Amino acid sequence: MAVAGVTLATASPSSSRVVDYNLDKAAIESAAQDQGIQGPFSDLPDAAAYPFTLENAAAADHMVKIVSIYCQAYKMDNPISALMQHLLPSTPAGVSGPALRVTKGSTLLRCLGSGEFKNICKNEVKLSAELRFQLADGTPVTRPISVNVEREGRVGGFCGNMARYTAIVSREAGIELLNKASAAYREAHE
Amino acid sequence: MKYLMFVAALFAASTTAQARQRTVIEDLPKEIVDNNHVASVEIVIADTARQKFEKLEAKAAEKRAETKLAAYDPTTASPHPAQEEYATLPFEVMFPLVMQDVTHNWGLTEGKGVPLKLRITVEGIKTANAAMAILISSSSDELAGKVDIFNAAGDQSIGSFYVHVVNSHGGWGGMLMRGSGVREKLAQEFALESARILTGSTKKDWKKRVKAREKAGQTSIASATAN
Repeated sequence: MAVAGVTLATASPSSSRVVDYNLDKAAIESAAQDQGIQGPFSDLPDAAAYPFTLENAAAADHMVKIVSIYCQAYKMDNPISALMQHLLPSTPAGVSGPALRVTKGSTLLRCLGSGEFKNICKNEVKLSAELRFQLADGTPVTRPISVNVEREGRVGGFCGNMARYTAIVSREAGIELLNKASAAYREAHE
Repeated sequence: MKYLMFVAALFAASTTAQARQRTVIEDLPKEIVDNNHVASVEIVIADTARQKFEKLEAKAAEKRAETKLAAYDPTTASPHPAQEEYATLPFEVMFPLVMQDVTHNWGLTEGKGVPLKLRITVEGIKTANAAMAILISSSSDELAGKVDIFNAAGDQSIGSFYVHVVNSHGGWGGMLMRGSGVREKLAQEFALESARILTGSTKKDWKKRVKAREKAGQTSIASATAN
């Protein structure tokens, strides 16, 4: 509970909650223990290690789909662009070079009965992007990159826990997207 | 008379309700909506559904034995068994057949538009508890799962949605009205919700399709009678 997973978006007309990415690794591990969220959890990557810049991250901003019996009325925005900005700050306009162009994102959160009086939640975050770069001979290349991260956990009686849970899973998906794109770039240049 | 009144009271206190919920996770591209057909269906049973699923499979095998059919063998089985046989088939065989039957009924016939591959991950399956329904208030049959849609030709993910079917039954009468073939009914309702997404049907359009289908059915019966 050290870090609140939700902030009220007072400016939003629909008064939906917004997933807050102000989480460090210690806060993630503590929250994960509290909510039984599956690990392991990645360290914050070194932005300088990525050979590309990030574009269009707002394309992945979305509303979380909650399909469990309870908390269905709980509306929650997942601003992936804020997460990606945190992981890999955007390039100033006019800078060219290899780029990871984000195309879409989604979150599916559901809680299911896994036996008599037992409940388990599953939270899945999908992110898609296109990696654009040129080979040494000048040939332009576009590679689709997509990741799908699902972690089991618990929500307990508090709908607010869903936002913290979503922040943790989305962060893993964001880091995996960057790492996968980086690996694809390196592979193309070997 | 007392007995009749007792039975009447039981039925008066019984309820049956259906709730089907579909949630689009990733929209299908507009050019594919209502311009597709289901070429194949892959079923994945999630750990959360495994226990109940195994019980239902055993029940289907029992029904198969009761109807004097040989144990299901995929190498010799017909790819298009009769609908009466569905209740005796393994879920992973029955569900794709139901999905194709229902989508065909709603106009997504073979050869139409883009061929799709559906991957259905069944995450929740539950049958009503008779004691709960009769003694407490109600209990429900449920089927919940995620459907990932792929372009069958290119294996490229093009959309996804989630379906949760809940059929509640209350009281003695509710359980009696529930009848048999629960697994098939759930599969059919799941398929119906999926067809609504694949065809992009609005409530109004859906009613039109139901009327058109009924009319087509009556016309074919009339022409068969005339011949």
